[in-house]
Amino acid sequence: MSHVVQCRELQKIYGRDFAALRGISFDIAAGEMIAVVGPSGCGKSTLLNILGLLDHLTSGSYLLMGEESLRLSESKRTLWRRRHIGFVFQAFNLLPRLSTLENVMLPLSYLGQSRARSKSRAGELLDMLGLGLKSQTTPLELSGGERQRVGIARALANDPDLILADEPTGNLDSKTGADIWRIFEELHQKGRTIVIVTHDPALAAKAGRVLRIQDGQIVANPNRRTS
Amino acid sequence: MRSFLSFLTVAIGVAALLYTFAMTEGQNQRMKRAMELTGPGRLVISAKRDYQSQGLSTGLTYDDARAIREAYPGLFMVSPEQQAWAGRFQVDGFEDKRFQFIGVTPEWAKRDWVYELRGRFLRWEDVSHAARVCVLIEPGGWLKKPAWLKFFGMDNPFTIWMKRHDILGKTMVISGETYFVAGILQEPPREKDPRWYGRGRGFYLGGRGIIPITTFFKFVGNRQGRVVDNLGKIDEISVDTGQEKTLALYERRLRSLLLARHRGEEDFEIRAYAEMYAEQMAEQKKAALAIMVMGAVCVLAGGIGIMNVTLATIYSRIREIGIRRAVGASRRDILLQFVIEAMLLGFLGGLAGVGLGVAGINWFLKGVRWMEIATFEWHHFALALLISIGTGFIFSVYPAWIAAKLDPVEALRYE
Ligand SMILES: Nc1ncnc2c1ncn2[C@@H]1O[C@H](COP(=O)(O)OP(=O)(O)OP(=O)(O)O)[C@@H](O)[C@H]1O
Ligand SMILES: [Mg+2]
Repeated sequence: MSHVVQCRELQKIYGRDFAALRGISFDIAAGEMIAVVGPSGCGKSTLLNILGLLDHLTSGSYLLMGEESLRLSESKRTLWRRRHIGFVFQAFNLLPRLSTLENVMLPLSYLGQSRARSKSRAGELLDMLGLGLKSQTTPLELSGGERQRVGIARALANDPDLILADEPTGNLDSKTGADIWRIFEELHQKGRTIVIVTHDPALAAKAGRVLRIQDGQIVANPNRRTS
Repeated sequence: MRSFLSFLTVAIGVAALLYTFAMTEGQNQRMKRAMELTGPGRLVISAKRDYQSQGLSTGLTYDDARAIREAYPGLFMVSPEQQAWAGRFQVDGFEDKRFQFIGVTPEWAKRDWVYELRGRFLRWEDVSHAARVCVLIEPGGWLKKPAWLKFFGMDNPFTIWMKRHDILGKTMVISGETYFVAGILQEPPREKDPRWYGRGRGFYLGGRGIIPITTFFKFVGNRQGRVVDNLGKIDEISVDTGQEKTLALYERRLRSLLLARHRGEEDFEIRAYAEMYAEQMAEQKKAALAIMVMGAVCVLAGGIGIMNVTLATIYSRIREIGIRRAVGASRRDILLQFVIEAMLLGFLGGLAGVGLGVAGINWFLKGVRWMEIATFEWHHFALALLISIGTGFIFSVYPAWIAAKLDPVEALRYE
């Protein structure tokens, strides 16, 4: 079984002695959809940032696509993030001065793709998410749900092996949140590997697997050590 | 707003730099032309202005010129000259107040000849007979008259009159004496007159004529048309050795000759034209340097402005930096983004500066048609643009480096 993510005793210590993560171990197989839940401040975002190679772990081991992250140089980490990771944020994090289409094209430009090709790919993604007509508007003119769909399209642009969504429904009303959740479910059905943080137990219950974190530790993980 | 200000300072700096380049280039060219006209071997001996005579010397005289000529027949030219204003003059029914006499010998024709002659020039017989013949100088005017001159009504009535009447061969009464107009020297248009680039003497545009120096002493005398003395005092003697090599030699020879004739009184000065040009050049270079420094300071200020702007943009876009890093931008990508933006700002500033410089110089110097003086070369533009782009680069690298070093997680969390 190919594992997208393999974590062993992940630790993250902020400052001198604040442990945000204290020994987390789990694996994610390709095609899995995992909901990460837990009280505020328990370390969910920290975990996601480490998985997305935005942040460094303090100790332990994290293998992304079989590659030990500790051994990657700074530029390699960027390269791996660029190729394998797609981020979706709670606050959408779209660039307001770019059009919707250009926002989706952004990861492709860093991949060095030609403008024409990234344009058509971004257009396809926006079509797929039902935003084909809004490609020239700026994100500021979009509703919250639409913005998050643009965010998802951007996360999909580089055809990532791992999608990391940090409370993607957190800034949306429950109905819109449910719509967005459905998009993730569809992506999961198409074979995407997704890690999604949520505060909503109802939504989390729909995920195939739930990672419950408290005080930087996994408290309940039914599929623990599935390898 | 801030970016506009730094844009403006860069533009002004570049304009100033461009101006300096153009002026320096133009000055070099006109100096070259002036020197070509005068030749490499020119000296001028002039009477010292505020010299207190000790009663031994009679000052610089026509006899000095003749002595030099006699002692050194190998000299290409020994041309004495004395000028004076005369009073009333009449010719062919025209009458005006002022006339400028220039007393010379035929050797005068060997120097700075830019004229077109109708009739004849002065001859040695004219000098030996102190003949009352006159060669009039007709001002060349302008090909295209500068705007500012039109306000001053600089057109002399005699000049206008001369354009319409041919007085060659006629007689002219000046200060009560009658002269025969033997020739007319047509000056070239001002724009084409290389003399104008040289010593920068004023040009009198009214009645002006050349007469034999002996006639001058006999009828005109010194200053203000009064016959003060007949000792033959003159203002200057122009000498041309013909070549640069012999300049120093002749300078020494002439000095000792004149010192002997003046009984030890050094009431004269001997100067080489080349030296005078060099002095003038140095002075102009100093002025150019001052403007250049100003330009450089402006560019520097603009650069600091660019740094400021880049820092400000970076602070207002920290979150964007985090987002870009998250979607795959490397540190290098971020660095380049800000450096390129700053270089673009510098480039635009430079472009505006070039426009400003050209427009400014054109406008400022339109009056004098100095385009011949301020010469634009394409490499000046290239250099100016390069400087402004370089300014953008140099002053944005540090802020952009700060941006690239930001921790992506911190940047994403930044409000
Ligand atoms: N840069 C940092 N320096 C110090 N402490 C930090 C830093 N980042 C996060 N923390 C702390 O680490 C803990 C985990 O933070 P994290 O953002 O992962 O929580 P979270 O589970 O995502 O919470 P929420 O549900 O509110 O988003 C928190 O107590 C937080 O205060
Ligand atoms: Mg969080």
